[in-house]
Amino acid sequence: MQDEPTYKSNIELNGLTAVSGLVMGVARIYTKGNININQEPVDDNSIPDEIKKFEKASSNVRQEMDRLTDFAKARDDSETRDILKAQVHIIEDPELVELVNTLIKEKNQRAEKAVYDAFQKFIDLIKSSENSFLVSRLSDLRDVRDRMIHNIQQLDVIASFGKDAIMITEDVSPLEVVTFARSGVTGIVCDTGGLTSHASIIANAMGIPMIIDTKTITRTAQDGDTIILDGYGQHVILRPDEQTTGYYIRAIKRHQEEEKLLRHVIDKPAETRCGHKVTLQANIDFEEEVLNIEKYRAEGIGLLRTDTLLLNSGPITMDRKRQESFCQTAFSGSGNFPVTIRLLDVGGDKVLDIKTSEANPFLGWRGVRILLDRRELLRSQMEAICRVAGQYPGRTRILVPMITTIDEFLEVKKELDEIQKQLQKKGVPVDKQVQIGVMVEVPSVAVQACQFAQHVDFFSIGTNDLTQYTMAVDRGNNLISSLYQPLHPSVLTFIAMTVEAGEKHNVPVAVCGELSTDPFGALVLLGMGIKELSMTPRLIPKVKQAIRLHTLEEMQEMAEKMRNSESVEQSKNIRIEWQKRFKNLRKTDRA
Amino acid sequence: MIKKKVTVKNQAGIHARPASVIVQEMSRYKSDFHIHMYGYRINGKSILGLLTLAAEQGAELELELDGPDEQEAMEAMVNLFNNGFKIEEK
Repeated sequence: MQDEPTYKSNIELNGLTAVSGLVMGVARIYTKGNININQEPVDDNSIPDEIKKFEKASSNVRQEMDRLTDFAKARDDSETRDILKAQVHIIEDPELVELVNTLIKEKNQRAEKAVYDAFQKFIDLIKSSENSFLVSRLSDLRDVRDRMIHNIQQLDVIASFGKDAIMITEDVSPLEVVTFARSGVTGIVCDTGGLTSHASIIANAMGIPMIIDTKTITRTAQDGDTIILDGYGQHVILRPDEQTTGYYIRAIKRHQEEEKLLRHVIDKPAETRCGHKVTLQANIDFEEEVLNIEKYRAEGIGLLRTDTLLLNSGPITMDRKRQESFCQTAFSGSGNFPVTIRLLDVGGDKVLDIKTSEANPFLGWRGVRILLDRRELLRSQMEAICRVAGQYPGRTRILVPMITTIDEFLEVKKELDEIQKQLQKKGVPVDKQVQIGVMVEVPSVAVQACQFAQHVDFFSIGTNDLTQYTMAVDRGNNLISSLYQPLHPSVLTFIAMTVEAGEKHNVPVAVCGELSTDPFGALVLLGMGIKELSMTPRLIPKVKQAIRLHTLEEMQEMAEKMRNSESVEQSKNIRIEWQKRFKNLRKTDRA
Repeated sequence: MIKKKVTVKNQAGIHARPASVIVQEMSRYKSDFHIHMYGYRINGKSILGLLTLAAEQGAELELELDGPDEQEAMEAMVNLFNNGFKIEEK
């Protein structure tokens, strides 16, 4: 007899909060890669469903491959492209497709089992050839097989998530976060992960509480366990006992009340206690989020991330119509306010699941560097934006990511002028007021802000990357995450330089990084002279509440203190001291 | 229906990339395509079928084409085999 597995209740696992929140739900273990095939045959009635599942999975994997192929094409990576092409041929292999269909129809096999068996037949044949070269390359075949099976199972998993599902997974890709969000998952808990990874940002945008870096959640949790995700306490609790459950039910209720309070702030103006007007805008990643602009009274879009289009369609080829439709949605969903469209910012960890061969992707080929090398991409994007801009005159701001030098900016600006001219020639209405500005994320831009200010229409500070490049810290690397300090005096100095240049040359400076979503960070930024903050719309009320409870002078004082801080300890104390004051302010506000 | 014998010339034999090139090329033709080797007969438009041949350098195959464009297809295929599938090998 085997030992009973240890099944303790009330297990607490610490992690890092990627997206704050407090939810209780049912643990659903989500595995990828380790394939577990359901051998159980299906009855005759389910055969058409299984065939459909196979077809759907084939087309999903096929699309995934096409995306990666296009990307490889854009990078002139012919080796990857050839491998992918071979894999596409495998998915479409007439013999394979026929065999899978036969296995489902005649042996009542489930789609996943049929795919596995069909592949196995070919794998066995190749193995029996004893051709060592081919045998050594069988992993390519298994890779396609596993992708197919994974996809079929994912279709099943998504269908079976049920209400209150909290996903338990080793790590999560941006694409998976989107899939989870769309299927109603209420929380995500991972073994690994980085706080500012793209997956975390997307989870935040979609409002799904997420705890990462628990190290062992997938080994500790069992499917179906009750789980509490406590983003405020940076931990999860598995199989809570009665007392814990009671405590959390009360806590969840309290938070819901708190949220209700914040809802009152929504309709109040965004201004400091002394009446200084502040512009709070929305960061938008997905079409679905556009509704949040109106809901949280964002005054336009401070950052429309177009790279998220890649999650759903082929990258790099970037179908112009799709881009136009995304921009249309953005404009029509944001009243008469401006819309800041950031050009494609792929690279680094944002490139889906493709392996990049760069030694230092974050210092590598990304953002405008890709766009200038692949002009057709830049032009297609510019054209899509300009076509839409013509229908909403005076509202368009184009934001160029990953700018390092003035030359790069001027080059992009030249392309914009050229496209506008071409469109005009074709009789397409254009908006001559289209503004074009740069992201301040590479320190060189902050250092040269005065020179840039003579050319750009606006600055937008991306605090995540600016911190990363200033502190030389990979934001996804857990080993050095303590060095990732967006409020470090050196980062603040770069921000101050940009603000100063902007004031001198009358160029607006906005902040669209995560720092704006932290009420303390937001206050410091405003204290430094920033007047526009852009953030996930959902977080606007919280930031607005903080702004409304402070005077500009108080914010300036906070900024001054932070800029002069001499240690992490000191910065921390400034924050703690403020937190205490803020708590009291909120109490009196409520009363 | 037409048939023709060819020899695998490239060093690594018919592995995934050459097989992929063959399938890609043949997708342009309507004719049915089969390959005979040591008594096996496989569908030449199936990459997995091609791989199961495990054809190494020097292997002799017989190409069999049947359909409206069999002549052009045969010509293209023979060319591919003679050119080592247009693949540079490292």
